Amino acid sequence: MRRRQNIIAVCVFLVAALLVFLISPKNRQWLQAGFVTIISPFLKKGSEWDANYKKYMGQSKKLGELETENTTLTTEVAKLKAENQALRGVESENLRLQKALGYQTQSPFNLISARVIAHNETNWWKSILVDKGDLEGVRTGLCVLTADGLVGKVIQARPHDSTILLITDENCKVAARVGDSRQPERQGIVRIEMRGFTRGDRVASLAQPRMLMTMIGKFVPIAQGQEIYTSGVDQVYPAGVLIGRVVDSKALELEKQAVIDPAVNLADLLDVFIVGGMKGVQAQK
Amino acid sequence: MFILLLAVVMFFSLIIQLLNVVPGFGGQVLLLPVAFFYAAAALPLWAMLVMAFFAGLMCDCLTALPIDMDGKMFSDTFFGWNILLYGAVGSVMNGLHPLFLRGRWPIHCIVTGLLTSLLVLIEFVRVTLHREPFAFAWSPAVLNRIIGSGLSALVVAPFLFIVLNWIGRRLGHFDRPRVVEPATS
Repeated sequence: MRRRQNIIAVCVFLVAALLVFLISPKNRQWLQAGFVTIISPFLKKGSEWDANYKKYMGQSKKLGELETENTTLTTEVAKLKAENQALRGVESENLRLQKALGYQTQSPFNLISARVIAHNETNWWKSILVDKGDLEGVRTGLCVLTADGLVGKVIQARPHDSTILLITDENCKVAARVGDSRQPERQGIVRIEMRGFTRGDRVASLAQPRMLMTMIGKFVPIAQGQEIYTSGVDQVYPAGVLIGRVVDSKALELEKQAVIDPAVNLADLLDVFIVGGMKGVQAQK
Repeated sequence: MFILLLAVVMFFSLIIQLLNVVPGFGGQVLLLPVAFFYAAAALPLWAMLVMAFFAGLMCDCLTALPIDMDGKMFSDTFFGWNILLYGAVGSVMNGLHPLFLRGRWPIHCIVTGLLTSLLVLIEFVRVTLHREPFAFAWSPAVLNRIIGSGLSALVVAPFLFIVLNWIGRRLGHFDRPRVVEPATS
């Protein structure tokens, strides 16, 4: 009798699993969004408690008022640095375009400040959840950065929260360039690479995985510590955002490859900025 | 009642896991698998399968992420995979259900550690086969992640098992008073 019950239970389980397999992409996204919406308040509250706890632990060393002021100023500085990061690449191009077309950009990027509420780094995927979503202007595909450099991109935006795919996820690829130069041979693609001489970087041996930049011109000189920036060619990440620094490089038959240490400590992210586009662009006659 | 409670425990285990507030050895502490393995040991097969479905669905909702701009192309885990995975590893633990009822739950704590490592290992093999077949990149970091997850689970499991056993007894889930103390001999 019990055996029969068990067989029925297993059959029902398999049928249920099969039904889940057959869910359409639209319904699947709806299901995912629904689930994240359910867990989001708990995560927000949890991260708030965590932040308060850390703040409380820090208060034993500092006076309350100074701490608050310091936090505000630090956030402001971080925001300005992040803005500067995003602007670095477009600055010179803007000047050129202003001259050529008579356009005048009024102000830089519109940065949406967001708090990291969950690190979903379970096993082999690298994404985070942040507490800003559709209603705050976050859209799928927007670039995410901090004062130190590039973090990733928005892959799912829900009303009150979003999922960010980190640059250290194997599914994330970034068009990049070596240094400030715009020469084609200095451009390439940055990603997590398993094979070749960076094998084993699917997970971090230390704090975070290193990335590989490929398709660089074979004769381009690359020095250790040289900075790697986004090139903007992929039209996802604005040009000029710092990705990381070169740790090692190697010339292959047709190209050069560089191992990169990410500029941002992705394992310890608390606040990020989502680049929500330009604040306003005006045509001036 | 106890089944419902275990489902709630699993849900909040996932929340704590996502908040990343518990330090682990070489990786994140996977609290959800620990809670699930307790359920797999303490419940009959049909209830374990319900729990596997619940745990797997939660994981799928978080890990099957779109990687293109339109949200149509998904990352290398397909929706429903975790349900089958949890069902399979849960069945192994459920095979030790009679032993659990005899109060030998410390054995289940060890098995929890082993199965958690197995869970991470299976994920690694599957992801690797999907992304670059026949190019396994074993490294100390990968092994550290696999073994570290198991060790973390091994440390956390006894605490969770003691608390849940106590609650289970209070709720009258264990009809015979055998899940009380670990066997001394």
